[in-house]
Amino acid sequence: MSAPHRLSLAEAAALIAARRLSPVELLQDCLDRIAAVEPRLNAFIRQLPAEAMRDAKAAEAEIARCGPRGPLHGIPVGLKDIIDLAGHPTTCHSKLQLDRVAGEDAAVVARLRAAGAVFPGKLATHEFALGGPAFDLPFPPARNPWNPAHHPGGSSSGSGAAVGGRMLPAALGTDTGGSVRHPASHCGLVGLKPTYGLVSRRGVFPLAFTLDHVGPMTRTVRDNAILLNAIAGHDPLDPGSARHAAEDYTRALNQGLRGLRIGFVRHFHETDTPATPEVAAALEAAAALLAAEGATLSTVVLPPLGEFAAVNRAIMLPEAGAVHEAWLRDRPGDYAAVTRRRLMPGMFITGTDYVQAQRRRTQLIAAVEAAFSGVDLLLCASSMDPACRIDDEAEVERTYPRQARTPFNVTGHPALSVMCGISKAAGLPIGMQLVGRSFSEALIYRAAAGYERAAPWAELAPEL
Amino acid sequence: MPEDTTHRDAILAAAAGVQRAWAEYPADVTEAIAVAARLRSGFSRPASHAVEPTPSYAAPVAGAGA
Repeated sequence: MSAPHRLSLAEAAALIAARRLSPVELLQDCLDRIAAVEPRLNAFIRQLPAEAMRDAKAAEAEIARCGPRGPLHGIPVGLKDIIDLAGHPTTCHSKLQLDRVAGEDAAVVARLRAAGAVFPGKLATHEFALGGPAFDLPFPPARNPWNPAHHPGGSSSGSGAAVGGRMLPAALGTDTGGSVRHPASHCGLVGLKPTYGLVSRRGVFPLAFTLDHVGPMTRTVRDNAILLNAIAGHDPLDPGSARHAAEDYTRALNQGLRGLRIGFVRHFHETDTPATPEVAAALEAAAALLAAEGATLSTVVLPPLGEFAAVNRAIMLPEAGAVHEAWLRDRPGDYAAVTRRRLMPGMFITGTDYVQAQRRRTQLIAAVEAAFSGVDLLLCASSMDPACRIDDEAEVERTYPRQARTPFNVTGHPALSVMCGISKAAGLPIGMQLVGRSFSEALIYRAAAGYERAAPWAELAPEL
Repeated sequence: MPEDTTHRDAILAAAAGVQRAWAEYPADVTEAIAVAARLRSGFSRPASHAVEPTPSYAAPVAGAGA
């Protein structure tokens, strides 16, 4: 058996169910791993070893009595620190929220807790899921486990670092403009932005109401589906929650790629925002592998990437401005400089521009829906560049917007990032996206699992 | 920066209620005004008046809950 911290969630769950691994052993090994590598990665804002060990012991006892509740029983799961965990501060990685203690669990945490998960800590984020990486905050920025001199992506940066660094088998992130898929791409993980409304946002600090999603981040496709099984579901207390019947998202994982029609959105990375040659080559190789595994590839054209990006910002910034208005007026100096610079435009976008962006959004949704008339899934780039050095502020500012994730925050379609290559220059992962019709997460997982089995990337791990 | 531009930005900052930020971080406010202006031309406007914003408003259904 591998060291428990190296096991996938599904492998650990199987061993726990077979009584060959106890939740206490798993957690202790993860805590040892955290002690060893956290000083280089800064993934955690707050570690909760005692509370997690208490819950792991309770899980161990319950499993000994009557077996596991399911595959998450006794599994450690990290939480981005904009997600409420009862009794602990939700800092949002900000001086402005240091003392805001959550009175109750976020809906997703309550669901995970009911499934038996344990919570070893709250994870770093960009400030308020927007401002980062930044060095003028109460906590240092998370770093990339594949090369700690580089950023891990964001804003779910600690989630990416913790799971990529083999400290935890799984974590939750949030995604308003790509913030689950960005760190997933740069940390060699699987990250899903579900269909808008599939996963409750209740108890998650908002960035932009009509764009926010909570999503799972894991090292394998199967683990991701297992986590989604637990957190998906209607929440009558979340006004954006969809009334969608429960599904088993693992049900199609072994069906392979044969017969699937995949539309490759090449113009995103070829002409709209040209990717580095290494990223472009990785995408082409991934498309070839998908075809070799039985999928039918075609080229699909969507509206230009820049249209999606501008609409996303014209919606996100005023919605975020509405959330932050009082602080932007009264306490602008309490933000990191980068957060203040990114939030402030929201105070100057007119109501007319906001509504026009929401009207254009209607058309962009229709355009993506139309594309699905001829294909089952879309394939496209995630980031156009490998992660740059975290201390190169200019390069961070240049490369962060060079991505193809925001279209699916605008449209609400589910989108998953999975590793599709590795940059030779810095040894950093490259990711791609698979996108489906609304509520087609099981189909996305099927394709991603087929790709994962055929590709060599699962064998790779960061050397820490 | 030209004086009239500074004057304009001060007025806009006051209208937005961010006088404190204007006093302490004027470059951030000026940049924010420029970003907002650029975004205005960053996407095309729907030509048809019938295109509604997303999400469309819908009246609450009695007894349906949230």
